[in-house]
Amino acid sequence: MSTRTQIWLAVGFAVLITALTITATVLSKGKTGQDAVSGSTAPALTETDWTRGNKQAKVTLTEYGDFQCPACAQYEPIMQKLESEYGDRVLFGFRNFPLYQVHKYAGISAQAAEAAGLQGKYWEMHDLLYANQSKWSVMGSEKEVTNLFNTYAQQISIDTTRFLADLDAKAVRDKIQSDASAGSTADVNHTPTFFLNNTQIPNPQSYEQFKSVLDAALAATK
Amino acid sequence: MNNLNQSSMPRSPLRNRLHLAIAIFAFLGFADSAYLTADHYFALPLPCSLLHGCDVVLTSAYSMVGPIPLAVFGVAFYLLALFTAIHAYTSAPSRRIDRALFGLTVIGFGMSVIFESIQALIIHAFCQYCALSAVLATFMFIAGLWLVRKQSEARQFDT
Repeated sequence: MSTRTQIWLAVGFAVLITALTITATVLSKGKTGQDAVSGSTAPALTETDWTRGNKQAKVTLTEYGDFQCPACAQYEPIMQKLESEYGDRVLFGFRNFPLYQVHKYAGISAQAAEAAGLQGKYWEMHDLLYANQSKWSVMGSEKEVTNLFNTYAQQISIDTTRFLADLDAKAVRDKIQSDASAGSTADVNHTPTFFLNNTQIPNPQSYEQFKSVLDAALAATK
Repeated sequence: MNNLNQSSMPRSPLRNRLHLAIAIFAFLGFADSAYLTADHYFALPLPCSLLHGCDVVLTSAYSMVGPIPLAVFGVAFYLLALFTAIHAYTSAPSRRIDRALFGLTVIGFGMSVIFESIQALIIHAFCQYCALSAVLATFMFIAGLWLVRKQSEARQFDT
């Protein structure tokens, strides 16, 4: 075998091995959950939290999220499907954990959801923000984003004058700060972060994995 | 029979080293792009972290060309550069191959400048895997530039 052939074979082999190793690494990461989880605990859901599902449920699932986080937006359809399937047995909660350092509109989007919440339409705004994340997150200024959020406020039929005033209200800012502080105390350092019965769990990687986590928790209550 | 391109190109240790350097950078670039490609197709999106903005870049509208992630083009580009560099390293010296290799490094460097500018000016977030790719493409471009400079020097010497 000539030297030239040997070099080509070695390069081809190296490329193949590298591709296989990388794929195996990524696949194993997907199976085991991407991060080491501390198993830390978060405060239990209370009346001041935004919740959906059965308030009497023995199983709770709390999400710490950021409205501008793409991963949170990708989890949103999974969460909505789980809420419709387990809403009678599980209480789902959402707390703000805006990543101001990496997401320019993390703050204003959380404020928009809280401001809509003051008029009883928190979840409607929450869902709209995630559904339209790709539109507002690339906008050039906070003013443009606020104008767009105002159209969402119209869409969910709330008083837009009050909505715009509430965006900057102390109650709204305090609520976001309180959520974020509780998250930091509970070792949240990425979004979304999930707490099952107030204990942090590795992010399930699919709807099926989430289902089995909830099924196991429900079975444990029987 | 040797063609003019081949006959006028002396085989030099420096040229061999430059081909090898481009091949090594291209191989590392391939590994980097392959990781991003595998992560795109086989894993859920990276959670948004307090520490960096990688998720912002990799899930932005600029990370895809239609349904294809940019990382796939990265894999194709680095493989092409790797195979061209290995071909240049193992074949008789050829100005045409060296020029093709340099052309590839120019494309890689140009695209890297565009991508880094998009991250800095539009997305306002940086992805460390993309930065690594940009650094490798820059090194490849420098090696390619050196290669064609040596080529023109050799041509002056020939004439």
